[in-house]
Amino acid sequence: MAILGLAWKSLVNRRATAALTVFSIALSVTLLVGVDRLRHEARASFANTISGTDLIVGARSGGIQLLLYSVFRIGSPTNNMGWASYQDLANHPRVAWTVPISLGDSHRGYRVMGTTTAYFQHYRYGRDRALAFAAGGPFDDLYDAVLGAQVVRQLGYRLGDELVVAHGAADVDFTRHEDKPFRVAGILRATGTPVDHTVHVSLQAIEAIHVGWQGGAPMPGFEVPAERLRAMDLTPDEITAVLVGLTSRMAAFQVQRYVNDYKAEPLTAILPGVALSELWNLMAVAENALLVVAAFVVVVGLVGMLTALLASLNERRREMAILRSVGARPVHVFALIMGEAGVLTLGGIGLGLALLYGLVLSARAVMAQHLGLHIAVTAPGGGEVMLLGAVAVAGFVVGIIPAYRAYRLSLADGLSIRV
Amino acid sequence: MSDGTTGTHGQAPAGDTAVIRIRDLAFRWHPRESVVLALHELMVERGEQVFIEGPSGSGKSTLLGLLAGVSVARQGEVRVLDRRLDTLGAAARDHFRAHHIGYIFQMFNLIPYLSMTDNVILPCRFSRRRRQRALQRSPSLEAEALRLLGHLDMDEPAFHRRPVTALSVGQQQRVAAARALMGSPELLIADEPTSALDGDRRESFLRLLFDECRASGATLVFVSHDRSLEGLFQRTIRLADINGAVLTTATGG
Ligand SMILES: Nc1ncnc2c1ncn2[C@@H]1O[C@H](COP(=O)(O)OP(=O)(O)OP(=O)(O)O)[C@@H](O)[C@H]1O
Ligand SMILES: [Mg+2]
Repeated sequence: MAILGLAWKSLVNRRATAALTVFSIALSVTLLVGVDRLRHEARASFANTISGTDLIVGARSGGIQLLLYSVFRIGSPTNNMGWASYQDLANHPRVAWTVPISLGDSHRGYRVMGTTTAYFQHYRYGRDRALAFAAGGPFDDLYDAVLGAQVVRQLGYRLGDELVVAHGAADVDFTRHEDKPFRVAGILRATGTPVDHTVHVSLQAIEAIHVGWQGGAPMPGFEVPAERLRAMDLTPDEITAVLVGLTSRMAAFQVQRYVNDYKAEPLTAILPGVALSELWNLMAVAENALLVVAAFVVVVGLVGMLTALLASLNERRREMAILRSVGARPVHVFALIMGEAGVLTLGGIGLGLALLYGLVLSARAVMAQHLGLHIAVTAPGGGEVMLLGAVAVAGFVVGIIPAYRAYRLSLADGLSIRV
Repeated sequence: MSDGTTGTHGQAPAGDTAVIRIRDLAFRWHPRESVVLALHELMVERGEQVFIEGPSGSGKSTLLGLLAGVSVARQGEVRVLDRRLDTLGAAARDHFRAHHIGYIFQMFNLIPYLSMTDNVILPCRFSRRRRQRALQRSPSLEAEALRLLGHLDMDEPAFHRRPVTALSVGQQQRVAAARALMGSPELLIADEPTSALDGDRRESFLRLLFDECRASGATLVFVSHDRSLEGLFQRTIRLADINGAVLTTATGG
């Protein structure tokens, strides 16, 4: 249509203000879609804090509580599960692998977790990512430790350094396992999961450093030298939880029922994916608030466009009269302003998307390395297309205001030129 | 020539050659306001070049608005090219104007963001009829625009590269005249297009305009309060004399 060509030329003529308007809309679109994408990535990444594990089993408790201490190392279990129960579970025909974990000690604010080398083999996060070593390897010796990336970054350990583990979560002097120092045998790559904040040792080591302890304190006169412990049987009596892999996903409910109905002691089995999304939903308010703020920024951008268009109208009344004199109808005048609003909005959306992709491409590597957040470069998804559509509709609705005003003015002015 | 006034009151010639025929018109801007324009009869023949003279506020622009179909008469008859504008709907009047009327304003006729040729071509964007007529004369709209600009001494290449706002007022008015003539509309309406020009340039502009109107067979209705121009026209109509409305601003009567 001829009038859209006019709208375009008129914008080109006022390119400085038009470019600013497009840019402000673009920034708000980048923010809106960026927040939405980050929200989804964060959710997906959170849901994949632990993946590939079909069930998590621990002493009877709430599902989220079990998830919090076994995966996020937040809080402590009120009860442990017995080694015999663990053996029963590991021997269940549907169970492919198990990773027992034992929590309770800490090192300078970081949780110490006892486990087996199966952990490094079976633990998955993200979209089926395995743990990888930045240096060294799994623990081999009784007093070997494997550190998460964040522990190393904060405390500056290197391979071969010694560290002392404290009893309980509080690192207080008198409860340190001073006599049994550990040696750093491996350093893990960043995962963006709680693994980064964990000091891993073997289950036997956890057992060894507690020999001769009772009620959270060493019993005087019962200290056993570190080297003599090597000869002892260090099979634990109890563990905190078990990560379970099944022979088939289908078996999850069957095994879950087996665990929940286990007679010898009360146990709980959770599906980590379900528990994770329950936990995420607790935080959904903050997530939505962020999106609402981003939406308001878009409104601000569109109000900027409204201001620019309305301000230009008065000086354009002459132009409207000229257009009317060559046969333009008042609806043409309406369409001219709507066309400008449309070009500004769509231009803003296009530039906004370009900015977003530029940002994602350039920040991708850094985000993956430091936050463990893996943002995929994909075409806008359904939700994003809806958001962009909403911005476009809002832009056109906002455009109606100056367009209608221009329409009224050109009806009233007719061919008389007013400035 | 001052005789022209009485000519409008005389017996009208055969209707088929009249481009404008107004009868018993009474126009008021608002229903509650008084009548600004009351014309018993006003006729303009095809091909005529008419000068409508009147003091400020006598209703010249109001009359042109009625002829261009922007305002509507609620009382009386306004016929342009044998079409009753007073009974046409708003959209039909806009189309009528696009097809049949070229309009020149007093000043600042050009759209600042369009090039000189785009300004001249503008009427063809709103009227298929004028586009076709322009294309009958020249192979393309641009060629026709340049042809008209050439006739008005505006074909210097330097002008084409400049934004239209950088042209002098006289040059802008010639571009406006070319636009009004584009696609050969039957009726050219000019609302004091020379008031910003000095004496010499005013006359040369008018002669160019006359020549072009004659060449395309267009009728010219030219409005001004400047009596010094009337000698150049075939006929003069003194609006104050034929306007029956009692105007507070009008001095004549
Ligand atoms: N849009 C309008 N609404 C209301 N009244 C108007 C409007 N336009 C003109 N008038 C009134 O109609 C009368 C005639 O005005 P008009 O503009 O036709 O005069 P004019 O002869 O063109 O004067 P000038 O030589 O100053 O241009 C004036 O009293 C004016 O105030
Ligand atoms: Mg006037």
